[in-house]
Amino acid sequence: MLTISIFISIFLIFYMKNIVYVWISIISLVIIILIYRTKLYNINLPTSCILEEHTISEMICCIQKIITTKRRKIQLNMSSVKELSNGAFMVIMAQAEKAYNKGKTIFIKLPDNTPKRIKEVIYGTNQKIYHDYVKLTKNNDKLNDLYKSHKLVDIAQILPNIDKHLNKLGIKNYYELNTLITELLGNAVEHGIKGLNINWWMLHLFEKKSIRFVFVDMGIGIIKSYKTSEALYSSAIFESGKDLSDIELLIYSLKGLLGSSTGKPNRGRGMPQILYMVEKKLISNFVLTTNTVTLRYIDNHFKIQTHPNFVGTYYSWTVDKDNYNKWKELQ
Amino acid sequence: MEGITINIATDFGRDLGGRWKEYGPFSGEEFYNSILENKFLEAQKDNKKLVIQMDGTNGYPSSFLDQSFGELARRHGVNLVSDIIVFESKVFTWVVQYIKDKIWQTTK
Repeated sequence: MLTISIFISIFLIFYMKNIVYVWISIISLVIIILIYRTKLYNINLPTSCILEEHTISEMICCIQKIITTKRRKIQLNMSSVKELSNGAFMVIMAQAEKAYNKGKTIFIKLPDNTPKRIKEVIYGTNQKIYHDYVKLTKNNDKLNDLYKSHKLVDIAQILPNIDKHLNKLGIKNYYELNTLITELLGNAVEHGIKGLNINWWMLHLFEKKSIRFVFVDMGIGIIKSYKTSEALYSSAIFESGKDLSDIELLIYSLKGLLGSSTGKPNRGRGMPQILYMVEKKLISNFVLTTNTVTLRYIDNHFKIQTHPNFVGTYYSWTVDKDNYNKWKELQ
Repeated sequence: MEGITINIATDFGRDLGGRWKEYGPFSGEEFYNSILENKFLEAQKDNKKLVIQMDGTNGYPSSFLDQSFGELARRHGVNLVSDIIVFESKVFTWVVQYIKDKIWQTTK
């Protein structure tokens, strides 16, 4: 309807000889556009709102719409949802927050007959979520306030809560996991400052005999971060003349072959630490989704999947007593 | 062992942060500026060892290690730093190896 209105208005503007009709056409066009932008935009979330292999492409397309639509009012319609994972819901919320901070209003439509399991995910039962969103300006005035109050990453506020859950599994002083979480948070903040937008979410969830962790950094994504940095072009891999695909970029960054996307020396060790923990089975069920690639560690190797662009980075893994015991053996 | 001692957990902090002071408390930068470099120079001047007691913290992010021990090696030279610093740990032996093999080795 909007397209037809625009064409009619353009026709009237160019072919009407009376200036009054031209102005009427222009004003009508503006009114139609304003009405269109304020009309509620309904996004139907898929039946399976989980970030699994067979559902991830559809999920990414859905959540992309939250940002890409020009409409100002968005409704996330959960009427068809039969499955909802904690991680997927956190990604939806992170994307919704991004849209909110771009001036959009987000509603969630939750029917009365929504299953209890889905309500538990939405209302945050049995999980603990941490997140931060800071929009920075180029003169960094807000950042200076945060610097002074040391509010950017206070790991001492987060680790004790995680320890409570780990202690229930008989896991104490799992230092390697602590360092992993600190690294992810530090990276999200550092790259966020560079992009003038700090936006990260993390949850941990007690699941019978394991704890699931999900961390989402709503920056530009690891692959895009490398593609837009000088670091890539000074790496030995690039200099060898090899043209890297998105998959290769991600795998090489995990192996530490590209250094940090900041381009600074002795950096970029976070990803190799993740790879080490995955390969030594110090964490389990590892999934990494960033930009157009998802890696899932299954049967001692990475299963690779490509899909539409996810703007950000999503990590998911579990920790159980076996992981902890393996780490103890390595000490 | 005789020398100057730093116990990171009691002299600095138990829950260590990341790289930069601006990003949060107990960062590698803060540790380097407030304790590590001063004690290192003191040990060098007095011709003593600087003993770093690692146990008691909740873990060592690599960015913390790089911005503290890595920065020390970049500023004062790996050979001198590895001559003066002695690590003591029962729990974090792998962290000590990481500093020597991954951080200091690539700084040479």
